[in-house]
Amino acid sequence: MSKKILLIILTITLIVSLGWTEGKQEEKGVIYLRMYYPVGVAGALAKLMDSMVADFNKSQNEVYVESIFAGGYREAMEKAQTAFLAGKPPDVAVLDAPTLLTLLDINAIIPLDTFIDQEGGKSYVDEFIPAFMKIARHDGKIWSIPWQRSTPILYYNRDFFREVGLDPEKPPATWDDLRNYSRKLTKTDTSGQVSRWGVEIAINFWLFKPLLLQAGGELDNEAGTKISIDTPESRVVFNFLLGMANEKIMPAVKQWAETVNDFTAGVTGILYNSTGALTHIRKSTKYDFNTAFLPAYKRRVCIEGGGNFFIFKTTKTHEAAAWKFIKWMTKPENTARWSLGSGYIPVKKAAFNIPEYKEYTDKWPQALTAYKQLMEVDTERNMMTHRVNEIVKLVNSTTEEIMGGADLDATLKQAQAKADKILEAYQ
Amino acid sequence: MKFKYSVLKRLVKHNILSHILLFVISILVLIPLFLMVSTAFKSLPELLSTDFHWIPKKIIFTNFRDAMEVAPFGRYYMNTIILVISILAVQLVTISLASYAFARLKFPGRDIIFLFFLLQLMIPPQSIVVPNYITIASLKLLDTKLAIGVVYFASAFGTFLLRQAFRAIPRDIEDAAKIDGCEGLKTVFHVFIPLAKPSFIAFALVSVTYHWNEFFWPLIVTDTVRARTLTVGLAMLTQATESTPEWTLTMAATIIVVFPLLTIFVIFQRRFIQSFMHSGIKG
Amino acid sequence: MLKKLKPYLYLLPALFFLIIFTYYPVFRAIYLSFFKWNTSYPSKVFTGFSNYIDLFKNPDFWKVLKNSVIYSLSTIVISMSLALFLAIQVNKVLFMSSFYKVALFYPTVIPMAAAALIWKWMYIPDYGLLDFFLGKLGFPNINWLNNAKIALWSIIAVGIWKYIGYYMILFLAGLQNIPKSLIDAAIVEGANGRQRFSYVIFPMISSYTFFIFIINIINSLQAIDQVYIMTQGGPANSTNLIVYYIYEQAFRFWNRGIGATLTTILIIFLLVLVSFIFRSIGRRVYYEV
Repeated sequence: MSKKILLIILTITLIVSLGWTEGKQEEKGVIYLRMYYPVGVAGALAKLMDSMVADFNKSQNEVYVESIFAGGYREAMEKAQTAFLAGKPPDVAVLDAPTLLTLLDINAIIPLDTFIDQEGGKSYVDEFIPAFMKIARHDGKIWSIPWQRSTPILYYNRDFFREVGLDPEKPPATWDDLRNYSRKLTKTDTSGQVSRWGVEIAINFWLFKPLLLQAGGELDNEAGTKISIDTPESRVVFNFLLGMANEKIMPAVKQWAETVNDFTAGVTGILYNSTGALTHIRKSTKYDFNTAFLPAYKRRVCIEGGGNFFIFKTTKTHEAAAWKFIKWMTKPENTARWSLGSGYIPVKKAAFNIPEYKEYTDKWPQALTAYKQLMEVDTERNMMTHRVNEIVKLVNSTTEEIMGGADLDATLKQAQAKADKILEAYQ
Repeated sequence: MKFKYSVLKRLVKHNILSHILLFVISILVLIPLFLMVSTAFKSLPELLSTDFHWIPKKIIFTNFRDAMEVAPFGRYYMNTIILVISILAVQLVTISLASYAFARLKFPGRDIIFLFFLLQLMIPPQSIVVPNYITIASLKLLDTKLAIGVVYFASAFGTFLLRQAFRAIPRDIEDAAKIDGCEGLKTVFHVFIPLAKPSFIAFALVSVTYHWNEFFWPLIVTDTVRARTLTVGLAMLTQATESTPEWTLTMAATIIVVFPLLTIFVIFQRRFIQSFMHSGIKG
Repeated sequence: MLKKLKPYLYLLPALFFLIIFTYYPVFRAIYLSFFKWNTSYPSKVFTGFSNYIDLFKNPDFWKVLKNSVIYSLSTIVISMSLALFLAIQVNKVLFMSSFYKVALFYPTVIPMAAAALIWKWMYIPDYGLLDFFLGKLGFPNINWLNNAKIALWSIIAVGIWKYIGYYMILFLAGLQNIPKSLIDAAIVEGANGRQRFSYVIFPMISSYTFFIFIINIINSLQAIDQVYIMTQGGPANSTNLIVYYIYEQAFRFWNRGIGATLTTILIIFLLVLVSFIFRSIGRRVYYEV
């Protein structure tokens, strides 16, 4: 009896230890790459990414890419930097473009200029929309290739505009408009409970920075070594937001994902969000909606955003294979496919001439708003600093504190001190 | 007044009040479970409509199919099952040997070493993830099932539990075995383990439950479906579809994850509860 | 010679893993806590106690400590008293007792990660279950997870729900161990319910209470799954608990030095707390063998 137990235990241990020696993925002659990617906006984008990668794998037989979903932008950066510093970097990753400085700090990525030169140098770079290449450059080198790029835009519900007597073709153009429209759009029941908000702006540094710029302020400096948050301009922004929250026309604290749901479900009339959520919103709402530029205040300004491809330091053959993969993914027809499935702006100019994409934008002109905004409005860089995950958390958390009712002056002062402390190595 | 008092007395006597209280609290505790099941069988439009029904107007099963499509739950199942069984297998070996030594052998430093074991109970694994991650990385084990399991191979809790059980085994039996030519390792496997079966079962149930349900450590050391467990897969699924209010799909996926253990628990509830009771208390 | 070594050979396998994955990490954490090691300094630089000083100066650290203390104390007080109360009730009844046990105990066998998802769904503002019923009853909606004043309590509720059945079962074990004769004697002596509880039952289960108390402290200080899934420490760090903070610093931000420092602080805190408790309460606990 006990012998049997012993035998069983031994066999199980044996089988298991066999199961544990993971079979090597690399087949003979095939270069095996691991790619991390995030999903930063609403929708079933992971599925689309996986199927595009599968198509790449089918298109040739030298490189095999395994696409590894790594969570949102913060999680993906966390995974990438942790994996690199643990000695197991991904070969290639889509990461929020402003992670560049942090990736350089830990010496994780390679410059892409040699590859770009092979493809024709300047003429190759010129195939991309110039505004997206800006954030990829540092110290005279190009470090990443644009992929899922966007600007924040305004989504508004035309049905609700009609309902309250607003012109559905005239979205709010200024902060004052935004507040006035929101007052009209808000619905409150007899008990004082808000059943529909005028506008929702999620707690997110990427929506905060354009507001700050519109108020004439600055957030990060060019070198990414300083954050200015304890400024008169950020008080202007917070007072504007707090004013709307106190008036109960905007919820004080909402998370990124919730606001999209609220818009599709008709819980809010106006939404600040990424153009990347467009396809999801289009598919999941029953309302007639439109998109527009962000309302202006002192300045009419917007920022760019979104993720780029980075190649991690591995081996020469893996790096070259990673480039091959990136080149394939950013072919005009593929960027158009990604754009159709998400709402992101195609990163290559040629994508706009692809018949399928033209047909789509003819039917859904909303899809061109972000691109037009990029071209027509002053566009500044996304918030890019060293130790980016920490700074992002700090800005978001400070916003939450203030919107949650903390003292404005004290909180901003404290946040400034924390930011200076985080970035002290760069002063 | 008198009448009321007697009613009260009768209520107390038959524990009616206890029943009412217990029933209400039980239902409250069950609500999340009801909600999970109810949501998983609803269609998304019904879920988002303003009215709420516990029983869906139309019961649908497609959420499960969709959940299986979005994430490779089959693979996660395999990983989790392999993981919990192998952790248990290794643990059984390490703790039987150690508890035998603690229960029956005399050697210098025994009490100190035993205290050393016990102290592990005070250092929860969650709190030392940082240095453990560094160790796992330097052993080149990241993204393997072994990385998840290896940190649990020695269980202070199991050693403690079995030591108590082994100590309760009468010396006579051991002596009788000795006469039959049974010594050392042989005694452990022929005498102690069979006699301490209830404690083994208790430990096994607790260990399997713990590792089936574990989330944080596997989240940190795994990247891909090769090693990812059910709980981590579930969390990744919700991140991938985070913005979509697909609570129907999420709850279906949650059922997929909790179903096996919950079913086993309901079937063997006596055994389960006894084991957890036993395991806690002998400590 | 071999005979003398033999006991140690039995211990070897367990001791090996124990040392590598429990004791070595503790010393490793202490060692690393003296280094600046983050993305600004990818190769570590010795800095003495500066990580400790930085943390003690950081208001977030104190906020996290405060949150953790509130979380631990309230889960301990609420879930232990409720669990004891429920155990006494379940111990009284015969009919339906296994239903009660199953209904109260099942959260123990559900992963916290899954439980957190279900609760997150209940907490969704406006159309989530809780707000729906609050609305029905005429109460205003509550922003369970987005309001910094409420979010921690929403997390605490999950913790209580998850462990209450487990603690109840442990208490029940204690209650069932009390010799029936003792209670009967108390009844004969004319002790009423409250007296029976304070003079007989409570002292008799004191070792159980003590034990559950210890488990509860360790459990509550480990809480992270629900924080990760439900709030990621937000809003405004109001639900950031110590283990989540360690994770955030060491992994999300890759501040390894700070992560090691926090680990060291947590372990020292745990060991001091446990030895203190053993000294002060442990001795007074009535041990029935």
